[in-house]
Amino acid sequence: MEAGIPIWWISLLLPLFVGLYGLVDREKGKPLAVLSLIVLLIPGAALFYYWITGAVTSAVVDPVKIDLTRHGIGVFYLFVDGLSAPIVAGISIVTALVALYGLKYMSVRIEEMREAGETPPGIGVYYFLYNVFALSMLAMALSSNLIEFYFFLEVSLVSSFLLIAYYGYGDRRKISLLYFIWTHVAGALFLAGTLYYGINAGSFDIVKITSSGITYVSPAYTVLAASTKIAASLIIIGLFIKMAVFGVHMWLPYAHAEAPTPISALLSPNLIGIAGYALARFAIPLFPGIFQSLRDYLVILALTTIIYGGLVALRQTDFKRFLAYSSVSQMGYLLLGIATLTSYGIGGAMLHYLSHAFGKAVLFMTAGVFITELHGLRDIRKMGGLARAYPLTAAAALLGFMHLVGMPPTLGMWSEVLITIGVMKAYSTLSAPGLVALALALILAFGVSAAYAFITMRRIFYGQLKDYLKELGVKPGYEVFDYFKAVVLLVAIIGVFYFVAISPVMASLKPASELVSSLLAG
Amino acid sequence: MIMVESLVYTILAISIVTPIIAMLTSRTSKIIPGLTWLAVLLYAITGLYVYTNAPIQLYGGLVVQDKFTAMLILAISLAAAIALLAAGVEPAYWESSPAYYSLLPLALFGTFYLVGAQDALVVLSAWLLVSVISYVLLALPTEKESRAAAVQYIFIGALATLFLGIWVAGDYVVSSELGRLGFSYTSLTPDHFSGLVLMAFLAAIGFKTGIVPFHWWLPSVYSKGNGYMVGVVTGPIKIAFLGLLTKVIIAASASQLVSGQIALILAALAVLTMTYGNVAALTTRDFQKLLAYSSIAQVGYILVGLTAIAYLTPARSNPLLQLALAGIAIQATAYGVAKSALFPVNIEESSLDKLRGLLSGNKIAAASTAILLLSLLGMPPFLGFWGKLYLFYSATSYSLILVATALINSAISSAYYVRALRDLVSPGGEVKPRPSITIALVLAATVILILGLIGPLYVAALS
Amino acid sequence: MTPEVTVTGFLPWSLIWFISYLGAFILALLYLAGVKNEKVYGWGSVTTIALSALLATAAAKEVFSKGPIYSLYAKNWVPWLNVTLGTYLDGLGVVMALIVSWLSLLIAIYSVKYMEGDWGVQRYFFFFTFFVASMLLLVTADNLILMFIGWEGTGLASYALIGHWYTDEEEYWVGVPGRKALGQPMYFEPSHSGVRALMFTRIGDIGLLIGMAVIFLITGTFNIPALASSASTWMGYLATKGILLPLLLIFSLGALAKSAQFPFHEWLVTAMTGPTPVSALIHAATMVKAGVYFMLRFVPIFFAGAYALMHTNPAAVEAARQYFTIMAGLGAVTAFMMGTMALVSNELKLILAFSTASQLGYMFLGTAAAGLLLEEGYEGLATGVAAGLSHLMSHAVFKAALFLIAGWLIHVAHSRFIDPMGKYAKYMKITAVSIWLAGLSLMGIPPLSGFFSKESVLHAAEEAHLSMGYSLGVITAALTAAYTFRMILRVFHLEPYDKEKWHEPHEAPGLMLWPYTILALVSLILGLYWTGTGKAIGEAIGETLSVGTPAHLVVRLTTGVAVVLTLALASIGIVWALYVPMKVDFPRLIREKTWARVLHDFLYDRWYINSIYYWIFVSGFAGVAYLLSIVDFGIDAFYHYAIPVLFALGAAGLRALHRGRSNYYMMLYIYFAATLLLFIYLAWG
Repeated sequence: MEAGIPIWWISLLLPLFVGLYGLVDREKGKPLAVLSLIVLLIPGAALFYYWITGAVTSAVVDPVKIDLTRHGIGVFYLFVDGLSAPIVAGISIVTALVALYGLKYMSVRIEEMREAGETPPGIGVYYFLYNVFALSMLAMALSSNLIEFYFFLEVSLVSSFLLIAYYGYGDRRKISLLYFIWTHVAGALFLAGTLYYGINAGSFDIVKITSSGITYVSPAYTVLAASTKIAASLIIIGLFIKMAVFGVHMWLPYAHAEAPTPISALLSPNLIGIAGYALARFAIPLFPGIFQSLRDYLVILALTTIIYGGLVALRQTDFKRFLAYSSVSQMGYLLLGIATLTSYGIGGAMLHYLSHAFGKAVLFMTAGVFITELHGLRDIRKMGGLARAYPLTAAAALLGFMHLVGMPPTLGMWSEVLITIGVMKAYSTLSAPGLVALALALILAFGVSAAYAFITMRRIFYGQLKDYLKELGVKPGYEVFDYFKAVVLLVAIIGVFYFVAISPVMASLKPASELVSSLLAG
Repeated sequence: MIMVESLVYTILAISIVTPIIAMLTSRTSKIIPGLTWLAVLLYAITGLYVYTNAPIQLYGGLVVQDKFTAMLILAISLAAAIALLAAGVEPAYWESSPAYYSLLPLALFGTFYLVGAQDALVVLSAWLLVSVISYVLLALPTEKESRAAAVQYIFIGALATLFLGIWVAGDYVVSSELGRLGFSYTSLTPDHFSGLVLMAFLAAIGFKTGIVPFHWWLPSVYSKGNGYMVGVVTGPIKIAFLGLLTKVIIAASASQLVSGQIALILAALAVLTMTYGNVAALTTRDFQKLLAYSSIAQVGYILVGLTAIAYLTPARSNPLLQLALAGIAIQATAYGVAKSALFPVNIEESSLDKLRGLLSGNKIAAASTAILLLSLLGMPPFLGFWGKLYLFYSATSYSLILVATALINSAISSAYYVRALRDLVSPGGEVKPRPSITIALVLAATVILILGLIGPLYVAALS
Repeated sequence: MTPEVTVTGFLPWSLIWFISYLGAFILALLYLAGVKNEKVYGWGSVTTIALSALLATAAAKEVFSKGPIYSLYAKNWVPWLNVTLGTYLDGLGVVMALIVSWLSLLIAIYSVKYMEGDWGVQRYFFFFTFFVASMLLLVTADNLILMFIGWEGTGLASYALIGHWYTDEEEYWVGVPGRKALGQPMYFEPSHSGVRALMFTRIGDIGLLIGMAVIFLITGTFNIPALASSASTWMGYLATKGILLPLLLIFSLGALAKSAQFPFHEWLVTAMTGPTPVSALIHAATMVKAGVYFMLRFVPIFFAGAYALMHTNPAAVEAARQYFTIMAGLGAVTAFMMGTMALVSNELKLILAFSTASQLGYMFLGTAAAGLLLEEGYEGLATGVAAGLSHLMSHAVFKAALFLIAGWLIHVAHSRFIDPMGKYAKYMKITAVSIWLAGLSLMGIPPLSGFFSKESVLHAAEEAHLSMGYSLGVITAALTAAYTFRMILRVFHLEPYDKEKWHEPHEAPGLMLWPYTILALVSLILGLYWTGTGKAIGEAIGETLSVGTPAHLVVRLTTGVAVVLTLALASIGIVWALYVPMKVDFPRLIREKTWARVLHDFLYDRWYINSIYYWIFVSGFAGVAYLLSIVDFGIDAFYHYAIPVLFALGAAGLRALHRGRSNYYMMLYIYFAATLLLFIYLAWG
């Protein structure tokens, strides 16, 4: 369906304007926060409307397109279908609410940096970069063309890099550089594979958009030449680095732990997950044969990532670094779903993107609450017993962890169910020992997630209040319920809301996932 | 035809009258720079005229200007304008100031023949003219180091010119056998003599453009020379040589028999050049040195595109050829514009440690520098992105491995570009850039951004 | 076979669970709105649960008179997975709903008083109500996904309520502070117990989920009635592929974990860190029965599948038999193991917890045994399943009573150990009567309900020729009588061990007293009127999915029954003799005699299973995590030390080539020009 107004372009341009306003008015955060909240919510709200009306089931295409076919590029559409809908919703909701959250956090952070004798750019610059970062991620999810996607990928990289370099913690000069280099390497590998596709297909379009919906442009090659394999490997490795799969996750713990917390809350669930989305949206339709031959290895890699990330997370003493490793682990779930190459698994992965977006955003925001209100407290060893002082934050964090673990009433359950069905469908021909081994592997993977989630919940929130906290004057009733915590709780509650209101999401996710998996049948 | 000739000759005339006028007026007179600006403007008009009337044959076909060269001419005038802007009023205070203002138009005059030449002797004449101008330009400023660099440049330059002579001679041997005018390579055969001729050309042009392993002079000269002058040499002048390189490669690979091998040689040189430039630039803390090595790497990317051209030329109809040409035009523009604005930044201090926060006093200059560095890195939505995209895209038809190597190289280059960017734009620091440099940076960045947003239109413009 | 089903809209019957969710939601909103008054939460919770209970009762009337009800929301909730929002009320579902809702109501009333003044009372009642809703959803859901949601919801509530006093003061611990077994601590803080409970059950739940997924992939539905009617198809398919047995076992992992069956029993005992009403409701009367409910629900389905395949697919029948045998065996082992542990425990709630797991083992034994009665057809099945259900019901009643009494006793004794308790009968007449009634029911003494239900279970095991299971069941019956009698004897009649800490007790306030007194009386009435109770349950089973045949729960005085009863009475006698006439000083015996100490420690430290788990899983995974963190360090060093150093060396090396001398550059230039020439020559030779 073609939207009546250029809704997706509006969704991209309004944040840009708000950001530019931030450059003009550099020290006033409040109007910027509110404006960002509103404009970033637009795509989410529009999507919700299209979900209810069922338009997403085919695809909602922006009427404005950029036709570069004559220039060897293809057509830049902006569109949403069932596959990208969870991604768009996740980005819109999380970026909007974190924009509001960032007002208090960044005011405190900038103040703190200035007290330390540094001269960070004002909050206006923050909101400029923030909005550019948000809109670039949104644009990636809306893209119909590989170059279009890559274009915004790099925009998101530059904006997030600057955010880390300006406002990050620790050795932020080094870490921002490291973040840039690795993810740029990822982008370069992705682009290399992309170019190969472009040469063969004559354009970089992945989908053909017609009035009845979308169809994937089938690749111009059917026989798997050696260079096709190289191209596929380049794309897959590039996306894996971006996604921080085990083995190439090295950059993530630094970047996500040391970024200013609102940015961590965007980087961690939103940005890296897009690489997972790109696997399903671009990589599988391009190289179905390669994926089929790699399926078992990818599943093993996914399970390794889940378990590895989870267990290493358990050993972290820094709250944000813990969350960073947890993100590595969660990306394993995305990969697991995609690697099954079944419609359930792919749909489950997309849904997991959304639930991880809510869950991890909540958790990073929780970490941010303590950083802001307890003098930069990040060390889990100094935490403990915080639930009585911060009951609502604790409730939000519990919901956040439940998203990651996949417990109802959070959205995480649906993705868990779908991914599990996907795995069992992919391995429906197993013999008895194989079935038992697979079941044990899944139990181990899901179990490790539950373990790190609830053990950490206990370490931070339960038990007696640590002396360090008592000295800070923390006591029952310490929590002030302001907008800062309200948004944290709100994100968690939206996750619960989506658990209940899953009907339209699933209704549109089904045909989109099946469309992808149907490419694999041949 | 008449129109073009009169425009070009006017530029020549400007360069001739400038010293005379300088003798008649005071040192700070506005007339002299005004005349130079006029020359740059005329050169831009030349480019536009050529573009609208392409192809234009001059001197009975010895010089042919087509759309591709028109775009290079426009890029050259843009880069020259930026270099001129950056230098501001400063050259006026040099004892040899009239030389600067008269040589710049003369260089533009030379580049016109360099990019359009269809004949080896024309190349030789234009080459000598432009080379000598670059030597003199580098020697103009009063600093000792800059002059030492110029001397070194002249020394090795002489050697390169020797190789160019070999090529000219060889080319005439072949073409007199065929009894025709222009580059003789259209029917090149893979024999030893042709090999010698090709080698001689690559060695000569390799010297001028900084292709590894003929680049040895470049890092010292670029990093020691005066920033304004290096800006001119690496900006407008190098664009012209890149144009020449492209023309010769197109001519040489027209023969099916050799195009594959030429592509292979170019690919090897491309890999060497990119990797050398990028790796060597990685850890330096000297911004000017960093830019010097990055110049090598940037030419490496162009060689990737040239590989595609060499490979695709026998099949003329291939649309990828257009893309590769567009890539070269874009990349040359992005490179020349950025470099002619960036090199002058080093005028006062070239250590990154000292430059840290240099621009914080001037947010717009900081943002402009960031844009230029990102464009060199190939980040969208800046012009450099489209350049690399089309270069690498067309080269994918030749070899995916080459393209992957190029892209990984480009990714590695982020280490030094982004480090420089981070240092230059991080807050803190007290030195402010001169206003003239700021204006040049802003202009360059604006051009890079605007052209970046319409980047793909280059392809349409070429066909 | 399945009786005629009445189909209605979402209302009114789905309100049974929905209204409690609504209640919980409102409580949460009130909390967010800043309402702090604890009475609002207590009575709000009671009101919602009462509504649920009344609805369940009305539904029961309908089901008993007209047959099963299917209450369904018109639209598909999750179109992709064919998940409906529906409530399926058959005999089993409605009996479960009755038990859950009414017990919850009584315990909620008890809680209002018990939790008075507690700092987390709002949270308590929120999770309490949430739990009731989830449990009701679990037992009435029409499909597996909905059941799973309820299932996980109870898990969440259980986690939150076990860890209710998450500030971990020592008075809320389980186990003797400082005690270790095999080097692992044997004392557990509430927050620790919460994590344990969650982890144990979560692991089982993944098994359940996997099973659901596989069955869904074969049948295309999660709908339980649909799965029941197609049981022979999908079971046959799985059997042909040779994975029926492993799949059924994986599918049942959730049930085993939820119902604390060996090897997942460990979480239940430490769940006693929660407030006592929670222990009564969740960890004795209802939630831990979810696994039993699962068995009651699915054993008939598996049975029907196997029965239909009896002559066509021997592999399926064989797999089903093996499955039933394994489940029954696990039940019997659990019953016995936990019974032995209860013998020596000196923590009041822990004794009851061991006993609960042990009795759950009985239910598994009986229900799984029913599945083995393939030759007897549906009548045998019905009787076995009815035995399981009846024991579930009678246990729910008497164990809830016992826990509620324990809550009061712990309160008056200021201790969770029984050592400072004694001679309470003198001060609390009504409580003493109640505990005796409930206790005798647990011991299996006629005419209390426990006697009949336990005998039915043992009867089923005997019929199924499960000799090991039956023997363990009989021994456990004796153990049960012994530990229950010991507990009541010591607390209510004998002098306390720890006289200095003894406080004079007094009778409980009405709001607490009446719930458990009522429950104890119910336990008696159900037994006295067993002809009616048994008949009702038998009929309910007749209305159950895939059963369809009423069961006859009449206990006849056979040799078996006589033996069991005699053994129980004998063990009561022995305990009495040891404590009263012989006055054996057990603490001294354990201190002085090695054999006694070894035996005591073995049982007291729960067969060392906990320690073994901790060594293998907790320490094991901690070790793996440590190793992985070293690996991570290596990966990090490779990317962020080795590679940068390599590039830095390369950069320095390349730059070192430019030494700045012109002649040197010229030499390099000519040298490389020559090299290039050589290459071209080689290529174009």
